[in-house]
Amino acid sequence: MRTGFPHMGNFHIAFEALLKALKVEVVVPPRPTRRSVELGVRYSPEFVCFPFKATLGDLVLALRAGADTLIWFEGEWSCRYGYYGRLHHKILKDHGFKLKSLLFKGGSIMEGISDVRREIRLRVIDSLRALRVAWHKSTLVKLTESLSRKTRPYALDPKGVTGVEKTALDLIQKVNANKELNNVKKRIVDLYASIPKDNTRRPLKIMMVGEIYMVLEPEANFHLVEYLGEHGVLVTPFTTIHNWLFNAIGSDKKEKASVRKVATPYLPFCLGGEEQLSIGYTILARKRGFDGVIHLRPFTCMTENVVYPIIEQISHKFDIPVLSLSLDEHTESVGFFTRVEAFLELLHQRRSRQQDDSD
Amino acid sequence: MWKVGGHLRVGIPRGLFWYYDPDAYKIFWETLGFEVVQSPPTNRGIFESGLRFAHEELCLPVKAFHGHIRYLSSKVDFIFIPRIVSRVISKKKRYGCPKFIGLPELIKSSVPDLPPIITIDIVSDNNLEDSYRRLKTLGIKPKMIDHALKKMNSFQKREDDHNQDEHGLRVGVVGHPYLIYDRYLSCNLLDKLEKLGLRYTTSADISKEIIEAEIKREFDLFWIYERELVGAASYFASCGRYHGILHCISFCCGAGSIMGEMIQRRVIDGKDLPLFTLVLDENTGDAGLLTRLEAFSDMIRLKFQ
Repeated sequence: MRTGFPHMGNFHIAFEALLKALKVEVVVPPRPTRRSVELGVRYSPEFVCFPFKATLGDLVLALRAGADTLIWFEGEWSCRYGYYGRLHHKILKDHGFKLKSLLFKGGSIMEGISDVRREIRLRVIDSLRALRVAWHKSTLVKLTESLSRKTRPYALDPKGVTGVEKTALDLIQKVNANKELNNVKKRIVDLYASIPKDNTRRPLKIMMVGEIYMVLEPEANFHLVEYLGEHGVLVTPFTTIHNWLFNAIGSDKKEKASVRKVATPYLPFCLGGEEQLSIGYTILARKRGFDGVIHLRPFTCMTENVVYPIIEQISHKFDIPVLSLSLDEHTESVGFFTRVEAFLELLHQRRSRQQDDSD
Repeated sequence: MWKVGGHLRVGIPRGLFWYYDPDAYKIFWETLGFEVVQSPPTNRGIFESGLRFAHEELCLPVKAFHGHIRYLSSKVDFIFIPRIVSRVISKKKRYGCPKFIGLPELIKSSVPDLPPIITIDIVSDNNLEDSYRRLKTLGIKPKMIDHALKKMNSFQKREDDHNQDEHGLRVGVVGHPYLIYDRYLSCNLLDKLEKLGLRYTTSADISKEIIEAEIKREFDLFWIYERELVGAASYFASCGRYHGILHCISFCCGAGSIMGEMIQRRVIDGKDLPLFTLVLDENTGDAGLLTRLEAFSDMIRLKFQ
């Protein structure tokens, strides 16, 4: 059994470790590119959401690389994401790919693991050990990503940070024993500490909200986190891969619940995606010292499109600039970055005006 | 003794939820003693005002819904929009479309100068506490609401058994009622079929029992309304009395993209049955639609006559 799965940001590092620890052979497809997205689009329904198309492209590449089993989680809430696995696998089978489809109930890794155990007959102790490795690796990935975001706007050579990030991620991916993970952590922290910085800068602060795939997958948002960092912006996505993966353990359960509570007057029910978080974080952004919010949504997204008009209202009411962008495979990077640039310009002007006022 | 509404006028927009239980909500509010104003069927004026206020990535019926709200906003004291969140079907919790769940908020933030909007949350656990609280501001007591809901639910939907005779070519029309029964949005689709000499049954005509039985054979869906569509499509495909399936969806319908694929790949799969997927948007023209329907009808005729 050689298993393949789709990408989302650096999700594959922890997930690969988990499967390997469960003694499952893994085929990790190459990271998504415009080409793999095109491949996904070819097999997808016309106006399904972008993440569906992009992840389908990953699966095609995984199968071409020799995977014979595809693994995914399916859920039951009102977003289309719950149908991804079922439909992906059916479409690929219809196109003549030979594959075994493993679909696990439950939206997160924790709920899925009991299903996995049933499928490959594992002892509890082994699966716990596997979970531990995955947990540690994904914590390290989280640390690396957050260090990169925090270093870029201050670094004298911001482009160099991406290279350091790559080295750090490689380290995490290669390490095997649990014991070594602590050493790796130290090395990563040292790596980032050694980057020459100018700590006198006062970078703009931007919150990134929206649909989770568009926020966390660099290929979907044209590496926006890197771009913003290199243009001197301290950017904070509303969540991380780690929190998404282990959401049942609930490392940020309290935080999420409180943000949802803030959003309730504007949207009392969860629609199945990240919509309440998008609203909540936009409301809180100003209080938490952010200069602006970037809201990303896939074209025709069911939940974020309901949220969009609400966020516009909130932007006026709470006096926080919001740039809301709808993205899909037809979006051109030039048009995208022009709008982001204009937004940054606006934020800079706003800040200098506020400084003038306070002087 | 139940009358509290007096002279207050409530507006019920004729769109989305209205097509699932026409007149049911009217009965609800009339039982409570309010004067009910329903917006007319979608027309050009309503639709265009909807386009003006709605965000461009929403589906066609939701855009038209904005127009209905705009139409009512100057004519009534408050507008009623039920929020269909979840229901228990076949022992499990099933969800409404996200656009239905967020509808009141979506409308509030898109259409300007609105009278108050009153919602009742339809949730699987029948928890009406929030709704009671909201309706209390109108002087309506929980008891009265229960009474009106009972009366509304006891009102039976008119069972359509038109053209049940076995002769002639018959098409199964699969689509959300708020799209296929809205003559303006669907460009008179059903009348056009009749004019072409095709008999039809819509997915809304199929009984709940048949749909649940079909769904059991196919696969479990967690959307309330899409169960109806896939179940009906599966029934049309398997019962042997239909000569074709017309699947009608609106552009940007999130569920439609998934359902279309499921119907095409799992329901029709392997069966020798023509399937016509019709995607409607605001630019759909009468003549173009007619040409395509004629082609579909010719294909069925060539195949079965």
